[in-house]
Amino acid sequence: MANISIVTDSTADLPPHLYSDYGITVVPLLVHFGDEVYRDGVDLSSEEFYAKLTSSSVLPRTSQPPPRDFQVVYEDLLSKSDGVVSIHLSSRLSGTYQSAAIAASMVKGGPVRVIDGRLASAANGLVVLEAARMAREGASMDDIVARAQDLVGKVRVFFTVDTLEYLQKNGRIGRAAAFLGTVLSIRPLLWLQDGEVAPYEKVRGSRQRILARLVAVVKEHAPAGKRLRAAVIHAVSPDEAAALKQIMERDFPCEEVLTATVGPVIGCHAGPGTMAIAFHPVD
Amino acid sequence: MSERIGARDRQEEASALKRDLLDAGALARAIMAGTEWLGANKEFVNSLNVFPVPDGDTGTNMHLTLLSAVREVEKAEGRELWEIADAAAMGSLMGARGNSGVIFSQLFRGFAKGVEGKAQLEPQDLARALQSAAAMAYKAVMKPVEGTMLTVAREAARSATQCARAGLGLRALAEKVLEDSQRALERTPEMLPTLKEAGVVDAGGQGLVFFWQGIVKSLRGEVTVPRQEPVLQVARGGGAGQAARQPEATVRESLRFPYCTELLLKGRALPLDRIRTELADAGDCLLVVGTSDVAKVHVHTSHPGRVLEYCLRFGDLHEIQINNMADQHEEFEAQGPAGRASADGPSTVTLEMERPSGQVGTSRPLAPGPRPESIEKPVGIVAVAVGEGLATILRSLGADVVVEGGQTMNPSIEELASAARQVNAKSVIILPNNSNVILTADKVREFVDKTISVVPTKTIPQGVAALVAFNAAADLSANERAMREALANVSTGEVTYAVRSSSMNGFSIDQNDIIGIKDGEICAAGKDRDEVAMSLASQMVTEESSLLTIYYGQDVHVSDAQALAERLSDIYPHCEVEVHYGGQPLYYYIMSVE
Repeated sequence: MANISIVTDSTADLPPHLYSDYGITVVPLLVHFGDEVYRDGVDLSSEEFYAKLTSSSVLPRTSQPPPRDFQVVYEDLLSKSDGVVSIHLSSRLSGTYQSAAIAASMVKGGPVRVIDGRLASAANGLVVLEAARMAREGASMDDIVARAQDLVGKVRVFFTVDTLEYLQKNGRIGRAAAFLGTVLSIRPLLWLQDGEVAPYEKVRGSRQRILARLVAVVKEHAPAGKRLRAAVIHAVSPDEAAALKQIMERDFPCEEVLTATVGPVIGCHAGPGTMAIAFHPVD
Repeated sequence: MSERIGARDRQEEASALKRDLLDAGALARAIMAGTEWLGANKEFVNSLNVFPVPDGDTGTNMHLTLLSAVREVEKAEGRELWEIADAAAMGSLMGARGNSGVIFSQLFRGFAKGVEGKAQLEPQDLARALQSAAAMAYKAVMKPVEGTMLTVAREAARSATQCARAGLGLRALAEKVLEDSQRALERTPEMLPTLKEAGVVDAGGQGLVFFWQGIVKSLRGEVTVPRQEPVLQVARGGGAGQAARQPEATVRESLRFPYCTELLLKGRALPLDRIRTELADAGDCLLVVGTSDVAKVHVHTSHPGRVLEYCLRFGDLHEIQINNMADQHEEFEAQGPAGRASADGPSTVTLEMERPSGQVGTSRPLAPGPRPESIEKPVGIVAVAVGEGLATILRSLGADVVVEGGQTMNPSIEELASAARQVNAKSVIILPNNSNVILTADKVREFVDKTISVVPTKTIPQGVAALVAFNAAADLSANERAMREALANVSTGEVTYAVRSSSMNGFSIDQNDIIGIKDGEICAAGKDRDEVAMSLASQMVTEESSLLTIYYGQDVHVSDAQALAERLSDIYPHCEVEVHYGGQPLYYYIMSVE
């Protein structure tokens, strides 16, 4: 039986108990409010972050972990296991993958495989969780990597944000820039496509309308007759998230629906009010 | 940085330089000098930042990365040269921020690898180390992109190698490397379209040039290296830190030319080389980059007016910015670390002649976006409407041109054709928004050398629905399909008055009676405008409806429209009601139900 360690970064946004249950090592990105620097999820919880986000006059910025942070983690894990699989936020949204890959090229003492998740938040978390499950069952490094890479292509994530302002100001708006600046109240329905934010469609009217449309779009994209693993990801709107989780469990053959909170780093870019549904077929 | 590398070292260094050897102290001082000069210019670097992500912090990221390197270098004081290089590599690796910072850390890592075990460097050794630095950075980046700091690093290494082969001494080599790096930097817009579009050079490349420029300045003795301890702020474990302070010397140095002057020059066949040569004497930190149509000019000068006058000879000036750097420095001192992040205080004079689209409210003075018309879109849209409110709404939803016209004043083929020609797109979708305009729109393709597609919208609400379904990133046929589909989901109501007496659909209507029309059929009539509107709405709203939109016309007061909306939302609580000013004549209300 192989003994493989799983590493991700703080943007996987999984509920913290899962990290400890599965022995997943999380390397934090950094959140900067002006000159204050916080390690995502370590010095700054999601609740603290959103409170700060609305009260702070400066727009927070984020930065990838320095390569050295990954190097230290990898070297430590390699002294205790046969290899490391490290799964990260889309390389088109962040340099985190780049930092991890550089660190991997510098460590000695065992194999480290770094995977560009091409996803964000708990959509990526679903891939991390599957890899951790396999690692716990003693799967080989090659099998874990193959499955993770396969899942990266299968996870779909649709989301809406209250305002495109945050994505725009942080330069992560991608092709969704086309949605900017309308007179009518128009809400963007977005998805991650090829590792970046892309427009899916525009929905006029209230938040209720777009949340209903979010579920409808998931229905259109969920593979028919397949069992799903899913995550409802919210930026501090737990009631809406609970309602969506109920709908997911009622309308889809779900093996598991996680509820996840958009953490500080993704929150910097998506802003409050973000709501996402991510899912993939179990097999 | 400290006096620790002080006078004695400087003497030794000077004698080492004479023998053309770079020793540990000189390397440390070079790294510090480069860091400082980059730090002094980091806001400028931030402003260039458009690639890979336009988030405006490349300069800050590079500077913080370098400060972390400097910190380790200081700890290694007194050790061998290779250990100094190792310290810089480790420090930058620990403190790497952002992509540019990570790449810088790889340059140091490669440099350290290239000087392994060495106590002194001859010009050839330095060249080899720079080659090793560039090679490491290329290797580390997943998909190396030309037109970035990688290109500048490689060209610097190439230049150093040539100089060393030609037998140049260290100082001459450094000067030449700076010159060649600057040239490579100026070519970056030609290699990377994103840069060209924004009219800037690569931010990371510029950062690297500033770093090298700092080294050269210290070699020339132009900067008396200052001595304030840089403090890297990290609030790990909570608590705010302190920003690194700008070194005195660099500020004083630039004050010989206190006005940082920047502008965008637009003209035809701009002679960039000539402008560069002729402005060289106007001050320092000169930067003239761009294309033959548009160039960015940046210079620190004591006579900004002369620079503007000079540039006027070649074309129009845009986005002019003149900052008195002395004020900035004072503000910096006064504000302390917190206020420094945005250093454009009252001393910034911004004369904006045009604001690129999509940049409303955010101030990015140095990175002008492309002009809206200058970028060809895959698909453009011409829509027809009458009423300023409706025109604004359609434009905000993505219509490139709104042609005036409607029920009683149909636009001509030529008006539509000319609008279609005006749109910078090879494919144009026309939204007639009136059944009487559809045929005219269909004829446009015979007069325009573009692919014309007519999505047959008969009403404004259909036009709005079609625009909402429009995806600027998709191609013509995908858009046409999506827009046609969207028409099916919207029902249109119109409230107007009868121009003559008639009997229709079982209604006997007198002239000037108010009538309600649902999807082209009269379904309500009466004497009271708002009662007819209520009756019309009752025939449009169903169980499934979730959004009712009212566009009120030029003859309706806003308060009447809002009162109507309130009545409707009381009756149909499951349906959201929105009110917008349409400004259309003849039609008191246009309504849509989705």
